[in-house]
Amino acid sequence: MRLMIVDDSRASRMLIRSIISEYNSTITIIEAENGAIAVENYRKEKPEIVFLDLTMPVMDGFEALKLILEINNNAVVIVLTADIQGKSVERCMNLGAYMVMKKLPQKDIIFKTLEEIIKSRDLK
Amino acid sequence: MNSDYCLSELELDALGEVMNISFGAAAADLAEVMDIFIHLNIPHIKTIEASGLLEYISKEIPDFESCSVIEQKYHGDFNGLALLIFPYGTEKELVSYFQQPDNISYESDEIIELEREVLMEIGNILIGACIGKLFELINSTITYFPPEVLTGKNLESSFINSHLDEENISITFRTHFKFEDRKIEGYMFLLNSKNSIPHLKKALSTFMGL
Repeated sequence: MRLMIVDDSRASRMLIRSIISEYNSTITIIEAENGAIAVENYRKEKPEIVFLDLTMPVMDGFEALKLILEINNNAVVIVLTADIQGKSVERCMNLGAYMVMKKLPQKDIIFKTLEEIIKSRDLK
Repeated sequence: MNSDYCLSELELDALGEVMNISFGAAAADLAEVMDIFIHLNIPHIKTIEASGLLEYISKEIPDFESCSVIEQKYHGDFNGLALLIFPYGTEKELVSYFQQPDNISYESDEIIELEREVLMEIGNILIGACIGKLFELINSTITYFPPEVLTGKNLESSFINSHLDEENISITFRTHFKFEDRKIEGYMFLLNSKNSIPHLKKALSTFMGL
């Protein structure tokens, strides 16, 4: 299974990577530091799950979310953000995000969410 | 410089992320109170000599001298100073968010007092939530001094009397935000003393899971 982490902060990518690796060390992790690279990587690699930040340079997470879902309208995109305003969450859900999680990422919530996605989508 | 007082590129990145999370939580609180949407921009974090700080802020913000500045000092494991800066005239727009549409006319000195109170309240929400969250994330406790409303021009004398040593290195976190539907924008700077760095290094290491 491939999973992409999109965040302009290297420290944040490291933190999410360590949680995913603890969940399952066989998951292939791809990283992107902005929305434009994320869309390009998504087109090439087709990761099954995407963790996406919102506030990023070059292309923000809202635009990247829209473009990723244009490539694959079944894409599983989990928005992981510090922008937890109700209107931002609503906008992400309207665009088609799987869910919105607030930063800091909580290990137990990420584990539970991955478990649900893997079961419901029959991912390996 | 002693490496104990330097933050690596990765540590600065992690600190930027901690502050980004803190400001995001603060903005969400303010958005709820005012029933607005706040556009958040990518924050910038850098270390700078305290003596060059006012020059740095003046370069970053047009007409800084006439800006309204809400200043709040804090202390805990380390000392710091938060500055929330709005361009001149913004205070009148901000008051309208807190006023009932009942056309009450105020005397000019009452309006000035009202504007000052609104700035203090917004400062309380944004600075309090942001700094509180920051200290919580780094597992530390904090005490606040009451906020003060100043102009950019008056900040210099206040800054000289602050807890920050002019010869110290400050860590500045600058973020720029805009309120939806109104031409309201602002900046927030957090300045932490050199003594903050050993505490931050330890906390950031935990934060990154190292």
